Amino acid sequence: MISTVIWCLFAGMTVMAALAVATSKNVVHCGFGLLFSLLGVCAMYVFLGADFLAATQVIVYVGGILVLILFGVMMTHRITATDLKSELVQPVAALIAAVAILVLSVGMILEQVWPAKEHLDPITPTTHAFGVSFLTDYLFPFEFASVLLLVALIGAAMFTRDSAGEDSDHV
Amino acid sequence: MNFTWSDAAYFGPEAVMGLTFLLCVLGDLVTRGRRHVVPFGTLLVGTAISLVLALLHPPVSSHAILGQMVVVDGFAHFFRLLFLGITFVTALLSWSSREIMGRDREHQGEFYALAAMLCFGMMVMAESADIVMLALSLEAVSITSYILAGFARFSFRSSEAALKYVLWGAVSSAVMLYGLSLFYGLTGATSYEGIRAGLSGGQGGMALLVAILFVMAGIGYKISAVPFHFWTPDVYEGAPAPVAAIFASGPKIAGFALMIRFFYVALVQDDSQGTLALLDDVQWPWVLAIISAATMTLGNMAAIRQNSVRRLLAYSSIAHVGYMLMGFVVLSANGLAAVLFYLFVYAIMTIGAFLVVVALNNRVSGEEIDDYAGLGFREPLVAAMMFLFLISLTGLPPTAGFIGKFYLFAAAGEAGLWWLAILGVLNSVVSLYYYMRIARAMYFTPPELSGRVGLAQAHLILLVVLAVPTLVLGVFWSPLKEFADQSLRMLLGGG
Amino acid sequence: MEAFQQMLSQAGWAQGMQPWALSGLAMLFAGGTILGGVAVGAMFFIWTERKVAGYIQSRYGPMYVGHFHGVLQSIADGVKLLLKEDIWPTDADKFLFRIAPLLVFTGAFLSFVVLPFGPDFVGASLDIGLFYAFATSSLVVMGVIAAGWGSNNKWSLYGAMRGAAQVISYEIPLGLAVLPVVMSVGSLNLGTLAEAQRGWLWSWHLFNPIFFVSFVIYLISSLAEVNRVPFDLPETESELVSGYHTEYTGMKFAFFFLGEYADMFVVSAIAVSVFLGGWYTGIPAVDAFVPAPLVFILKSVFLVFVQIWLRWTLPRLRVDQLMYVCWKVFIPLSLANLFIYGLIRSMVG
Repeated sequence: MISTVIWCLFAGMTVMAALAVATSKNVVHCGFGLLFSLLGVCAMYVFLGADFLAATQVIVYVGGILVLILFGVMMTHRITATDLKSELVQPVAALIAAVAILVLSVGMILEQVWPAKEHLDPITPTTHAFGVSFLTDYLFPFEFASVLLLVALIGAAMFTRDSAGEDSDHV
Repeated sequence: MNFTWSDAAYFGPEAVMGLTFLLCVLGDLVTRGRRHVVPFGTLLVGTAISLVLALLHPPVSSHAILGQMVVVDGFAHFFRLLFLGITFVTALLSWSSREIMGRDREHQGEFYALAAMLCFGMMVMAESADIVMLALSLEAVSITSYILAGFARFSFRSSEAALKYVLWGAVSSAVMLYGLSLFYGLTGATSYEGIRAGLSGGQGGMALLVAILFVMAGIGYKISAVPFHFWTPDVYEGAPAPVAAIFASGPKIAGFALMIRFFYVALVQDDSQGTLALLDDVQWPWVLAIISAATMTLGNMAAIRQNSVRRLLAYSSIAHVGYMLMGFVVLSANGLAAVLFYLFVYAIMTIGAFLVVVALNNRVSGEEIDDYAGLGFREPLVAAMMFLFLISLTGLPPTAGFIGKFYLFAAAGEAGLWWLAILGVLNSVVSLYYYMRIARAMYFTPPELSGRVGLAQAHLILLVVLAVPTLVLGVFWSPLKEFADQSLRMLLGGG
Repeated sequence: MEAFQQMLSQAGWAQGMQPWALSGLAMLFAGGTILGGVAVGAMFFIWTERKVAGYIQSRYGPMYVGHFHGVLQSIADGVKLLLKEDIWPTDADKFLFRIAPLLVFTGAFLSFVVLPFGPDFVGASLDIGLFYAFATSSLVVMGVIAAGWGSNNKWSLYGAMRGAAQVISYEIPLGLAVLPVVMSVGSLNLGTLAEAQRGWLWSWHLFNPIFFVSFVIYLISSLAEVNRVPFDLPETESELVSGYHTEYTGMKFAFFFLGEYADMFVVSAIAVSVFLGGWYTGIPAVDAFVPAPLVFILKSVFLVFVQIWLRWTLPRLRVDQLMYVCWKVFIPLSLANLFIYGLIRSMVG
């Protein structure tokens, strides 16, 4: 009962915040909307008994990605002066696509019977299981992901460094 | 099933490419980015070793390795040879390209490292047997591609290309991941086999349709099928030409490999007669048939209006995706073999055509069709090669492109998709018009300047190297066809 | 929380209540207890800081309020802050300006839930306690950014950017430093980590050479994590007036202040439970009759005292030095440490 109420609160927060992200004209407000949306998703994970995932969600998305997004926004010259433009480009095609996706998604949610568990177990520790599967079954994806991140890192360094050459000697 | 070291033996070529990437980075770091020959050499040697390893140990049966995440079989073998070849050739053509190695350029070392990573990612894409690996490998190839697209970072066009690519890529990846999560939700499995097993129970319905559509959005972006193709012309035009050559061949082919494995393992079953059948309720071919028709028609129609050679080639590559999808939707081994055959041929002729663009870059006045005027008189060899690639792209005998298209149309006809085959033929006729515009400029327009253009020796040699198989496969195509058939046997026959 | 629920269900006046109301009440009680503890504790630390600063600088610090060495000074300050005018800068971003202190305080407050004051004296004995405590500090970063941007003041903005950059950078060595200990104990639960150090003094993790390196890295990084000297660049009164909370007055300012001191306690308490034997005194015989929470709190307060001591002793680093230390010293060092520990573990078995 009480957890249903709390769930509804978090679900509402997630959706409202996501709406704010989509509709706000202020980029920084979008960022903070995203904060609440991500926190709401984190709460959903908690309700699903995925404790480790929930904490990771906060550390990675809020503590890392969102902060970097806001950094980018704040370092951009005169970002406040730019209004977020949302012009209508090809309204008819967009409308058709949007309505089609909406109909399909809603239809799917209403109609589909998911082969899911009826009752969730209370929060059980998942960290150990995560660790074991990362180093056994999912070792290759895990390592592959780290190479992927290395590539992203190289790319980021490539695009943002001033200029290679002379000043690369005395860094 | 756990990870074991004995699995690693099957994974040699891929492991070598992954190592090559790291060594390229390291080599560039040790030489402080001054001796570009170090990463370049590392890439060439690594690719060669990988190629030798792959050729020495062709898989004799299907091995699910590394915790069932990837499958090494004949299908994977076919693509890994193709990707290694593409990487080798594009590395060579980049080395003498001004757009990559010019004096005003930087990060040349990283270019080769990224090329190695791209190859590694593409090989894994073709081998993924689990939606986790599907998403990861697709993302690896995409992220590497974004960086390569923006390689000339002080060029406005290149940056624009990278940005457009990233935005498209991010959106379609997100949509695809949602689709994949629906598959997981429906079946509770992440492996392709598990998904098929879960779906045979008959949980079809709306969710499955949505899932397939959304996954198609992700893959469709990778192979640039309509309506996910918008980024293609801008990226091919903005990115440096060698990068465009890579994009037009590598990632697109990897997208096909991924798509074929996913759809044919997870969503198709063998019935007892040895023919392929759809799972109950899983009707995807009609969706793809429509995409195929739209892709080839739109690609060709748009190509007619282009004046820039690069944009023309970009739209033509979209059209080719449409032709290849035709072989994909017919649900037969013949159709898939035709796709594989065509992918191979397509890689050669597309790289060839882009190689001409690379070779002429900065040496003629621009990249409009008119800038190629009189090339037939100034550089007869290059013009002849370009002409050859163009007729192969059109699909005229005696080139490999003709054989490839013939197989594709035949497969479509065999499956009763006559309307699609006829549309394909009509489209080829249309494509003849715009390919010949280039040919006309080369041979029937007098040059503004006279004398030789002056091209890099390496490019000329490479052009010949690529032209030979284009011609030879047009005459002796059966070895390649057999290789393609054989590669598919393990995928479809369950061997 | 379970303890509260049990107490409530035994209490006479709560007999006829529905179970959901009971658990709701228990939630409120548990939360209220922690909130009260945080507020009182933070006030105590503020007083300590001023007294320590006074002694280090050869002066008295607060002396009058409360008759005994100004013990009630913080309460007086609190009342003063309550009564102060709530000033809004012109063109401040109203929404961000308002939520910033809340985010900072909530972030600090949430970590208290997992601190193990004793074997069964913990808000929620989460399996991911340590990880959770790091996660909540992300909220503090967001609060700092909100404050900096919302204030519409360039000092605030600079302070906020520095603060956020510093916190997210130092989170990495902070996390990596505790990993060897986590590997050894096999748990992220702070209570379990403390429990593993039962026994004589030398069974504390601090006295293992590898963990000692971890401890040093952790201690220094935690100073940066809570924006204390020598890493107090976000506030640098000589350049940025007061950093991200320049524009705050009254209760909003008080929240920042409380949050900062609560954070100091949290990082200290984590250090205590991971490295310094948690609620154990180091002498098994003594453990039997000394109340666990007292030991735990005393140890944490000592670490808070160390932070205060450092603040009034050390000069401040430059921004580039700060980043250098993090990325080029601590992260490689903690990675090497982790690697060596893993190697030893896998060889010894």
